[in-house]
Amino acid sequence: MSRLLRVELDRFASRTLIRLGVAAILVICCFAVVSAWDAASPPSQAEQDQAKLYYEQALADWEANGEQYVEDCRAQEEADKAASDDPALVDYGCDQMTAPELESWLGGEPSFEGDTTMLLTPISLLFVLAPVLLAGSFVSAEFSTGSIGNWLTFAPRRVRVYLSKVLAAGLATIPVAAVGVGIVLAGSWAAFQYYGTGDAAPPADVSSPVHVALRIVALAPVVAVIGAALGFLARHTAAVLGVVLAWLVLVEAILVNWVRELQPWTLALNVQAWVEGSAPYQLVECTVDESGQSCQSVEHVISQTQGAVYVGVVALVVVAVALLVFRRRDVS
Amino acid sequence: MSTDLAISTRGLRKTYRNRRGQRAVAVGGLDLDVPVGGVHGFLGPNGAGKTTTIRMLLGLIRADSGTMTVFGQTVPERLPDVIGRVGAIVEQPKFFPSFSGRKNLTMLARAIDAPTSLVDVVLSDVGLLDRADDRYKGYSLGMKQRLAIAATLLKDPDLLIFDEPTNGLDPAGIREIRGTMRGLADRGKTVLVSSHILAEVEQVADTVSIIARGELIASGSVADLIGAGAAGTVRVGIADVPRAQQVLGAQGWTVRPEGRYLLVDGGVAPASITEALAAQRLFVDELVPVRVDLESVFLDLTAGRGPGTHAPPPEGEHRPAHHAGEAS
Repeated sequence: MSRLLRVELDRFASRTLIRLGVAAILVICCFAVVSAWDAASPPSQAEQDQAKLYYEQALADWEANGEQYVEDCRAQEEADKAASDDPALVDYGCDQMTAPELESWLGGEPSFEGDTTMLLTPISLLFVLAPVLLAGSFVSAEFSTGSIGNWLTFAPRRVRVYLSKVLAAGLATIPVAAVGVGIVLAGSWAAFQYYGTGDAAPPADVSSPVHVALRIVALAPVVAVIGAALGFLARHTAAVLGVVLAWLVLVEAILVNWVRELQPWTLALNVQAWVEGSAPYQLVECTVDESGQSCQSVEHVISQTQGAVYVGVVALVVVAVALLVFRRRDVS
Repeated sequence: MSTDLAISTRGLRKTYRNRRGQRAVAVGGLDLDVPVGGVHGFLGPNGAGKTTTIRMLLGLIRADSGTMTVFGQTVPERLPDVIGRVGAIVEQPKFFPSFSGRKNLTMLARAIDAPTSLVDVVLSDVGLLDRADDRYKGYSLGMKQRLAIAATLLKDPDLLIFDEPTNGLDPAGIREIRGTMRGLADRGKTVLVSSHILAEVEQVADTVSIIARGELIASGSVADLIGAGAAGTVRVGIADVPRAQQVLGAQGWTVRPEGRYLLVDGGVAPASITEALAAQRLFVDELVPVRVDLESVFLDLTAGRGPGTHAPPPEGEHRPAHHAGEAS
């Protein structure tokens, strides 16, 4: 088994498509570092002057017309409430209308923790899709070229062959993910060090970028394992891509939009919950009382634990189904 | 099951479901014995079930029913125990196209725990050492076949299975593969070669099995099969064909005209033919015993059993396998 695993790791590292894919991932991570440098840099004198100018114009406008704006807002809110079937849902936030502040134009204070976490969140999508496709192509290429038949005449124990390929895909993804998020993390840290802005020391909070990065590194091999299993089922890279796209469009977009109650069971939200610590979603809940039916949008949250369990269970199910199919299916 | 047999199958059956949901029989109760040692030809027309049988023996596809043994071990259950003694090329060789020949073999060697130093040895054996670092997808068909043979040699197997090994090869390549098979058999290996090209098998095989529509229809040594199929025909070249036909017919022999020749069936001795004709002052220009080749035997045996889906013989009709050497 370990012999086969080593061979598969070698094959994974030697495939041209995978090398190109890994290079593309690392290039994208480098682009993210450019964003980090942008976020870490303090505003230039010209930007500060521009911001101050806009602020002064807005303040002058507020002082001249602010009260009128608030009155107009309240009037519109009242009118719309009167016309609405559900007045409780009409809230224009007129009470929160206040005088402008200079910070609104200067942008927030740069923060290593906040900015890097915001940067890592979209990067996590890269480390979900890329491992699925690369691992899927790693396995399915063997079926599409027919080399799996030759391989099985050397290693006929299908369970071992299966596990070696799936594990290799998972294990090989770990250093790729570690290097990728490491580039983003180190690049961002270097940027904040260079500009001396924000808090450069890695914070200990669970939402800190270091912890988000670690969770991405932990997630990547799991989705790679799912991708490899899909490769066994679909037997062609294009088919793996088709399965992933079909899932995203049909289930994660159309079906969930149609049946909102399915939101906590979507892969996307559970992955988000694992990476970010939690994932909020909205459900409209209606109650009936003496005054009639009233509905309001209620926020629910998927916990990180649920996200981890959900992704783990999906991986186990896909891996088990693919193993059963591969054990029984004719290789021709 | 006897361990004198490299391969044995009994009642081996495999069906496929076609697009219309109907079951098509690829192999229908095959009884096959391949003796240890020598080259065994596994013959049959396209679609006879040769490749399906080989795939079942190698555990690539599942049999619906029947039993199989390789060197006495039941397969596929005990295949892992015996696979180290079996090298196989099924149809066209299939390797990783973007890897070099050496890289492909190195991975296979590592998978079976063979020393990687053996890779260059087997590449040298098949004459591929100087192209070992070229990508597999750049190889010619002949080079791919040679690489596949090199791969099988990594195991130093006792049984080599070649499925249609000369498909697409030029004459030189065919001759080379034939020489390789013969050489392996002469070194004590058992070689099973499936083919629908009879001439190439006849030149190299010691024993053959002929199948059609997934059933065995004949088996035995090449010499016995040809002998059993031979009618002992003698071709007579003579100027006056009609008169010679009368003279020989008068002897009670079966005589057929064929152009400017006469064909005398029934194993009549050539000396008797010349004696009978000379007595009537008819003198032969040519007297040739007609050699029956494996192709003739094959065509006779498979007549009416063409490729395609299996159709059972009409009710009541029984087609027993023909075993050369047995009374027939």
